[in-house]
Amino acid sequence: MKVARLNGELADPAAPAWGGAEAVSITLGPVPIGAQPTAYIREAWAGRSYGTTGAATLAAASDGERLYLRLEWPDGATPNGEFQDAVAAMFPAGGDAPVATMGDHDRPVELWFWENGRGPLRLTSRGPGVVRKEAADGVAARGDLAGGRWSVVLSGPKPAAGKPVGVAVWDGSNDERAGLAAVSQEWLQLELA
Amino acid sequence: MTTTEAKTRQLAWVYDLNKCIGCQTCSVACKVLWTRDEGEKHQWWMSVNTMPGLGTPKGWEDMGGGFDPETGKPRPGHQPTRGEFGGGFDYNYQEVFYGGTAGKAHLEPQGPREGRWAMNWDEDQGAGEWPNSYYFYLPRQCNHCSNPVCMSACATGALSRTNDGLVLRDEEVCMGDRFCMEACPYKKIYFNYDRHVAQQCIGCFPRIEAGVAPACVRQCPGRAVFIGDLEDEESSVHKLVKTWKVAMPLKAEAGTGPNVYYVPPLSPHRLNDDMSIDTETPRIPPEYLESLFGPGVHGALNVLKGEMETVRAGGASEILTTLIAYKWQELLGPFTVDPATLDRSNGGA
Amino acid sequence: MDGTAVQDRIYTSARDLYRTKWEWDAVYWGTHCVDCYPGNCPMRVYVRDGLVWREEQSGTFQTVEPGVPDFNPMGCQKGASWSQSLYGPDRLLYPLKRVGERGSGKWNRVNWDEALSDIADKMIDAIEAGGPQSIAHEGTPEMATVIPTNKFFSVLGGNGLDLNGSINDFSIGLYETFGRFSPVSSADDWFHSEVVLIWHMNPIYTRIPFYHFIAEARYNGAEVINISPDVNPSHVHADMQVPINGGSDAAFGLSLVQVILEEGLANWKFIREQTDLGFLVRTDTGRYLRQADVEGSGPEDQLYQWVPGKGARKADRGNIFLNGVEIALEGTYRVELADGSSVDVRPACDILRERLDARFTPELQQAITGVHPETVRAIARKCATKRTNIMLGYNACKFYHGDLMERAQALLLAVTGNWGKKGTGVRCWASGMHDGAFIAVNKPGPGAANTETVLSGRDAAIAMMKASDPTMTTEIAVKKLGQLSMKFQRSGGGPGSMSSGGERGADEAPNDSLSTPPAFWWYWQAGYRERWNTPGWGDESLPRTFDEYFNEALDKGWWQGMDFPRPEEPPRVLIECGGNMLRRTRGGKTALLPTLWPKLDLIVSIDFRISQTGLYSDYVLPAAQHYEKIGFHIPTPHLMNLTFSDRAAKPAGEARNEWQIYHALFEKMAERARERGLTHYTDATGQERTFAALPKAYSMNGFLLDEERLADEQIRDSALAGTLPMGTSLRTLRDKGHVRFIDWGLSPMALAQASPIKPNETHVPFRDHTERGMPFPTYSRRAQFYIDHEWFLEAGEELPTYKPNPDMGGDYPLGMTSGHNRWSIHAMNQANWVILGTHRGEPDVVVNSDDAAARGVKDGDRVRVFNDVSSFVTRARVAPNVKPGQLISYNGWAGFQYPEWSGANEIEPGMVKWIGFAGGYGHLNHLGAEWQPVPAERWTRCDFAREER
Ligand code: SF4
Ligand code: SF4
Ligand code: SF4
Repeated sequence: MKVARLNGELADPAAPAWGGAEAVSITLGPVPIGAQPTAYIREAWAGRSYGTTGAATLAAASDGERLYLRLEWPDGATPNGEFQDAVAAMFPAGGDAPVATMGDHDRPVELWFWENGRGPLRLTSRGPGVVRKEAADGVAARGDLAGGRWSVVLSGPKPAAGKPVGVAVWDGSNDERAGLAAVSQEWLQLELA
Repeated sequence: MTTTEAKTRQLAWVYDLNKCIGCQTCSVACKVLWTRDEGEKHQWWMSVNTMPGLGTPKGWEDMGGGFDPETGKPRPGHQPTRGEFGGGFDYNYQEVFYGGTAGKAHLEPQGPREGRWAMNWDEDQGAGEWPNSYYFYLPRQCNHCSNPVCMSACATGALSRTNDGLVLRDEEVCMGDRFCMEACPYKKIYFNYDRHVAQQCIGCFPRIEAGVAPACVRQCPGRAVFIGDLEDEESSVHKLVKTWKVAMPLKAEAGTGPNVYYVPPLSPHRLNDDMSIDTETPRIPPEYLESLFGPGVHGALNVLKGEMETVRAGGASEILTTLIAYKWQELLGPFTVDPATLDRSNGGA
Repeated sequence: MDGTAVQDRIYTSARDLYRTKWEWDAVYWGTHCVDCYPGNCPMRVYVRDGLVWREEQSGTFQTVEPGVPDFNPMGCQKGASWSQSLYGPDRLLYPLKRVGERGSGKWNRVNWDEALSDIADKMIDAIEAGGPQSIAHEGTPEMATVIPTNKFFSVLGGNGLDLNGSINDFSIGLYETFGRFSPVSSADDWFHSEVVLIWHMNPIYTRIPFYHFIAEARYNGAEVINISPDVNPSHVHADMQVPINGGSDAAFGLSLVQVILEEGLANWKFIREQTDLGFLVRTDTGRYLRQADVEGSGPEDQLYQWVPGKGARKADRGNIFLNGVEIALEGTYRVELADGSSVDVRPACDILRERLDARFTPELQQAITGVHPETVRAIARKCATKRTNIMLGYNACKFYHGDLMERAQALLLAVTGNWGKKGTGVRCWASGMHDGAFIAVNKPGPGAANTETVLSGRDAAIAMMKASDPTMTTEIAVKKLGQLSMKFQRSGGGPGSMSSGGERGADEAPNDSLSTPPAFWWYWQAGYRERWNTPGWGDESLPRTFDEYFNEALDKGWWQGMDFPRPEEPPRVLIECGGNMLRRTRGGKTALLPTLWPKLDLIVSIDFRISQTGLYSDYVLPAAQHYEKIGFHIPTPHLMNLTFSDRAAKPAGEARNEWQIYHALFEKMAERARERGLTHYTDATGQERTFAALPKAYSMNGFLLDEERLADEQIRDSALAGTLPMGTSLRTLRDKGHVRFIDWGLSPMALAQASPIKPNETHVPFRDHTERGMPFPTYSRRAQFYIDHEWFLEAGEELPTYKPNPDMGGDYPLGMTSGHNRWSIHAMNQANWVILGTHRGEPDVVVNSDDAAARGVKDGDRVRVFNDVSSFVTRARVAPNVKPGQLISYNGWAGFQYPEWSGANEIEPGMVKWIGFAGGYGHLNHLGAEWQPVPAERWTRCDFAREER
């Protein structure tokens, strides 16, 4: 998809400027149970559904300095107070990392991660939930809940060239976290204007 | 399992439940030392409960976790909620002392009263019926398990075992996913909602490194806690656990290989309906103790009773001499350094 | 691939987080110099950036007696979080002045000068209107508070209310028996016991630092027997739980004695020598046979024993040993009297046995106590053959007939020979030993020479006393001196307390304060007269009303010099410093706010926090907290150490230590008096006191304001007085934190131990009686079980007996009991945020599950507890271990933790057993902190009901 060249408060998901960006719907699916990183998680979630957010809408824009990714998806049930809704943009961080498992041991992906109530994080993921916190390196995020829909803008320094992006969404009300996510089933190529 | 440190000893705690008086000094000592910061108000890495009881977190015994004894697979567990831990209340100090309410406001925890719970909520309630009601005190901390399900459940690998056999978390790695909290059968992991990490007993490792016993051990006025290297055959913990088998872990069937052990509680005689004393029947039902400490509890209690009879008859008992711990330092194992003698003006560095 | 496989780093940085948490830049000694008794836990106080960070027990005790566990590490959860009240939300940082009504909770922050000016003016007004005796304070045993406060009141000429008369930590029955209530074994001596009777105590809550000696004694072969109506926390480590009906303990105890005498298990020699049970009682009058009866004249306290085959012989008042003479404990004998007539006499023991057999066999006692007869027999046999120690707390004495319970307990020990040897006795409280703490502030001036003057003055006074009666022990002489000086105070200014060094020079300021039993204050100033005369609330078996006894006591002059403030001399100023009258007083606000409070023109609370009384004060002045000043813990024979607490940090906010506060107040009084053209005033003893001299007299020309120097002199003066090793100084204490006492000094409570201090042995009291035949400080010079005082005879209490609890508070189905809680030292730690996290965080009453169900009450429900006196609202903690018919309100919650700031003391009528007003009989004469009327409230009748919010 095209990264639109826009001016305005792009960090704000409600900014009018976003009207000028193309939005695509990305189909999401649960990370396979067999790929979950620990036996505990596999046992505990074998019979439970997760990753139930079916799709998210992605728009991408840049002001020349930074890359902004605006994600929008319907909010799940009432939060249980323990886990929060979250979202991440994923980028391959070396090699042809698999997106549907959030990378693997040898082929990590980079995550720009936002969680309701928690500051943005830049993470390296080597499998579902197998993450390490990295220096923020200018990654920022802002989220809004309105009309039953989350809209979140994740941003970071504009890459030198286009690159693939994936998406992960966690429904906190369903105790989703780590690898218990709804993720893109394939990479989507970002094309810089 | 890969760890970066070769395990050279296995630290173990032994709590003598015939000396523990439920005073919470261990809990308070731990709290004042480690959990006074942001997001830690409700955390009691060390806690003491009246048993039988729902304890902390409320109903922890029924929250699953650990390993299935049949299959050896991890068993799903419930992640204890903030409400189930309870506590950490805010109080209306300002309003009461300075608010001009003339008694209309009294000092009380803020927030809804309904469903409230706290670390020691069911203190001294117990079970049974007067005059045969019963209870005892059970101090609990992270068991620093040899097969820590918390560690194997964690997706990020934030937990590891040290060369002392302590299970420690790298809080920089911890993502706050809380699989550990679900998986731990003892429910001794807390979540820091402000810092977004899980936290648990750190075995006072900075003190251990300096040769100082953990706060729960060193500050226990009941002289009820031993620490030492379980693998050292000369240690009190080894003798109590392995040689004499008078101390056993809590809910060993959960399969995590806990390294905290308990000398099980004796109890006063029961009374018959006519109030005469029934010298045959202990007040605490043996089956209840078995549910906590496993079938070995009966033998352990028999050993204790036998030794006490011996001593009452004028004989000597090495086991009881050990439990008496004539010199306090005997409880501290190799960690006898007086912390006040240390220079810690810069983290001991 | 499991998550554990990805570990590839050393978590140094995360570990450093915790390593750097465990950092400090200075370490001080500390302890909690409050009325935490026995307390005395030596702590290290860790300081970071000038602020106290945390504390930890020092663990620095050496073994005292080989083969006995050491004292380490002592401490409790309150002590381990004491630091958390220093800078917490309940810390008082600035002087506050009330705006609005008293108790409205509205304050203005004022500066010290403004506060002290106003307080000084009101104090001068009070002096003008009613003399300095109209300015009162309630006592506290906290050394760092009581010493500056007492000094202030001495220099002022004010009135102190006897602390022990307010709180009633006075074992009346032990006093009646032993002539003192304070035998205390060192806690490590408990280890020697073979039978531990936990009886009116709950050491699992209240002896946290020392409980291990009981657990360890059990491992050493002791049997632990817990006697209490509820299956209370101390049942946990007991071998036997004896569920006894509330308040029936005297019957149980007497039945134990009945079995022991009946089965011939008694220690007859011990009874003959140690007790008065071999003394002869006239069958016609019930009075002892006296020298005047036999010889027509002679000392009225010369009593007789019977030597079979020889006849009556005068009991030796100077030594209690019989040296082989067998005296009769049974039989009736005929004695010729001086007037030629003759009378039948019986040893008191004979009468005792007759009464025990008639009323207190195990079978008969069961109807009273609910305890099975075989349980009584089994316990009696154990006590008779084993070293038995009664763990008695300050619970029995708080029953209306608590003295009868304690006399029965003492009798059990007497017939089994269970005092004066290791592992035996009965546990009470005692202090003393740090004599220098008082000498230093009362001597003519600083320096050792002045100390020597005081010491030789003390010795001379005692020698003079003893010269008047060679059979007198030092203890008796000291008590008599104390009693004399008390009496003289109001009637003409005798020497003050012994430690003041006797006579003073003409140019020195007076230095005597009054200390009066609070019972008179309550009776005349606080509306208690009506309560004490309420039918049904007192002893219904008496032939006369309360007032008849009260008036008789006054008419006979038994309380001469003590029986005020009379109605016409109302108190005008109350200064609380370490006290907390509204929380402590039985009856609380209900009693005091309508009666006493309106009389008070000024109420000042000096504290490091706002207490319940503080909330109803006019001024609250911020005091230094315990880690912010130099202090000593109340010394106790439990530990035998002087325990030191250093100034680890500067007082927070504008807080000051008590010496500074009182001195500044005197300076302000001198200044205001000068401005008002006043020069002097006259105190209650007729002495003139000069306003201008007050500040200097108070500070001893500045000496007492220097914390370091004062502490050093106090320690050195104790060394000079012989209670600490020679050469002990502040430097020693700074180095070691605690030092073991080597002698008792001359305070009555310390002398009451009547035992030598042995450096390598546990302490057990009364060895002087059992090993040297030293007489007891009682009327009969024996442990006295037969008290032939006219009131005791009238009440049928000449011998220990059982009487039922009166219906204090009205006719209600439940009896309210209490006892110290686990979570606070009185109300001290109740608002500490850490401690609040160790329980439900709010007060409750504990009730039996069936009693709760019958009232539709579930655990945690809000309930109103009520009786004829008043009511209070709290939560119910429902538990099966409470005896049906019992309601437990553990003591120590602050009033402000309850709705309407009304705590459990509101429903306590504050009854006083009339017999406490008895006097004119040997040891039954007023003695500060000891013989006086004391309030009773255990088993107050009440009920409870669900209370909707
Ligand atoms: S400090 Fe010791 S005695 Fe007190 S509760 Fe903890 S383990 Fe038990
Ligand atoms: S007790 Fe729980 S948290 Fe501690 S090591 Fe064992 S499983 Fe892990
Ligand atoms: S409060 Fe009392 S018992 Fe607790 S540590 Fe301090 S002195 Fe000891």
